[in-house]
Amino acid sequence: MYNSDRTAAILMFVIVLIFAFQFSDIPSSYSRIFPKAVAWALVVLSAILLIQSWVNPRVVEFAETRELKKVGLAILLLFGWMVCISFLGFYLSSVLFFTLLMILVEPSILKLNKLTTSIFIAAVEIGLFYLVFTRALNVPLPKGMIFQ
Amino acid sequence: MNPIVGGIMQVLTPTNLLFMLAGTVGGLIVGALPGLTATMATALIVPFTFTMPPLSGLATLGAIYMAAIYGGAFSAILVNAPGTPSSIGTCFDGYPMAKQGRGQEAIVAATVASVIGGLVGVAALALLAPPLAAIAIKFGPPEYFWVSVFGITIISTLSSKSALKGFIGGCLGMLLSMIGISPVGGDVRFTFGIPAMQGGIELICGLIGLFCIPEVLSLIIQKAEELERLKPRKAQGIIGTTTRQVLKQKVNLLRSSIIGTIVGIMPGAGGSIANLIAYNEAKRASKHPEKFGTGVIDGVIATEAANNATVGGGLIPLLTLGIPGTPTAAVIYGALLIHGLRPGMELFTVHGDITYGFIFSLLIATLMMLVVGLAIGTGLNELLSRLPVRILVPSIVFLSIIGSYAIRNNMADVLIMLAFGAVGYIIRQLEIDSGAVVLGLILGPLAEEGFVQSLLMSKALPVPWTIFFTRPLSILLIALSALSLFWPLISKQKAKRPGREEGLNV
Repeated sequence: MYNSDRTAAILMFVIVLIFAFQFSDIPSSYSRIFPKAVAWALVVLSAILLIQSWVNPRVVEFAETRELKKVGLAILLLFGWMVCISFLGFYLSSVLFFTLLMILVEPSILKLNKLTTSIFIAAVEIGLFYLVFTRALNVPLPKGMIFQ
Repeated sequence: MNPIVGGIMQVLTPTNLLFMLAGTVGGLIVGALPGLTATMATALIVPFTFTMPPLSGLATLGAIYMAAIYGGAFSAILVNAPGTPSSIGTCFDGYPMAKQGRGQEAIVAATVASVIGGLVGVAALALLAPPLAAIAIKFGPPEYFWVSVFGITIISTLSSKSALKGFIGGCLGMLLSMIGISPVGGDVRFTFGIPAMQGGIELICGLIGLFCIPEVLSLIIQKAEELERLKPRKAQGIIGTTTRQVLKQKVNLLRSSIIGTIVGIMPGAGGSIANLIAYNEAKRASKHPEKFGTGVIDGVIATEAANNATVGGGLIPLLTLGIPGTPTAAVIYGALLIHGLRPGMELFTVHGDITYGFIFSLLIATLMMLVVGLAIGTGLNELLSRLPVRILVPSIVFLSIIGSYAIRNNMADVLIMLAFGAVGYIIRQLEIDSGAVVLGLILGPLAEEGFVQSLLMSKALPVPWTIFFTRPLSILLIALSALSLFWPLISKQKAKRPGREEGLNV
């Protein structure tokens, strides 16, 4: 259980603070005036929300720990996918992380025959997208160091 | 021969009709793929139109433009990822409809509404171009500032759970939109020392991240029995029933189409703003605004009619004054110049056959959209609904990565998209509306430019700040903003009055 209003207000204060540290680096007042106005508006609104969180507290249920772990793992996989593109190249890393995400969604596919089918599906889908984007639409896809 | 008749005759040749059909199919596919926009599609095709006769080239570009704006609805409805920024509002009710197994119904509603919106926009272009363009040029920086303020006030209606949190989300979006080079001062700001951030946050990356990734994360943790509900309902004659349902909403259709046309005329605004304003107005006018966001067909109709009406609207200042109303209209401007056509009265007199032919071709393309859209949309809905979640999840992520990368061929955009995805998931847990953050992202640059330019303009005035409050159009926009801001309170008061009950199409 957590107070969503209070957490949101504190998070916004932190964000404004991060932006506020950069205000002094902006030379022209014309580039500074509007962000400052918006930051102040965010501070005032967050302060009202903070007060409201005490006057009229609203608590929200946390997701189950098992679910949170799964979400955390998924976010890690997404960022891992992106990082791997730079090393393994787009296609190889995509087949790898596509399969890993499939396993995360449905762990039962770890059985050998199902896993082989899943890797095959990943490869075929990525191949199809390759044909549509790079050949038909002429849209470049990310490139990596080892494999393109 | 009369230029109107001449133009129509030239469009109706088999070659031109084939070009338009290809343009409609291509535009639809591009629009449906997140990250590929109508502007990108038309820009890619412009070089191929060099060798075509002027009318064939323009008709192809017009068909792509119209279909791409509509195509964005597919991914918005089926995977909660707006294919183009013009379909943001379609996610709000379209995706809940798909989750209830009513994806086909949402697609039919989006198709019919898009066609009607497109036709209204084209009709305005054909009949009212010169007078409407004259109003558009009266908009100066103070008016643009107030237009964006009006846009922001939509949040009070859009965020049904907490207007306060909605405005916080809007401010957060505006703050994020200021990352990069400032529009007036030209300074680099809020890049946190990362050179890749100088280009700012690409709107599409923000959209994909905020709407798509949190949905993927939700799908991952959903239980098997909950996912069963995603299976589409089988219903006979759904196209006919839904079409009748859409056509019954004459006021919603007309209001949204007019909003789309007017917003399209204003340079810099476009479909991304029009669809949200139309959604807001549909919600405000509804007897059951609380049901919006839960899978109400009215919301899909409003957004889709509005965004396709911006196509005709956006071309009004382009053809009459040479001012493109939307980024895609700017690409078409380039195509006009390539073919030696200069916007202005000459376009309607000396080159009348080409201009009226082009307008007529938009009408034909809109009608083609009806057939092609229903066929492709039905197929996609069937395909996605049969796809197991274990394949759907990585496919959406894969498409999100490609979409974010394709805009500027930059891996930093993919990183930004993923970061927005993580933030989107967190703010969803904190009950902050992602739609409000997106609205801030869209309106931030427009508001800042209007605000700072107005300040610069007002330097010569004895009391500088009065420039915001003295111009007639500004006063009108301030009044509209105040009305929009306090509308939830007004509607609460109205709801307290007895004897107000009417059905809603859910």
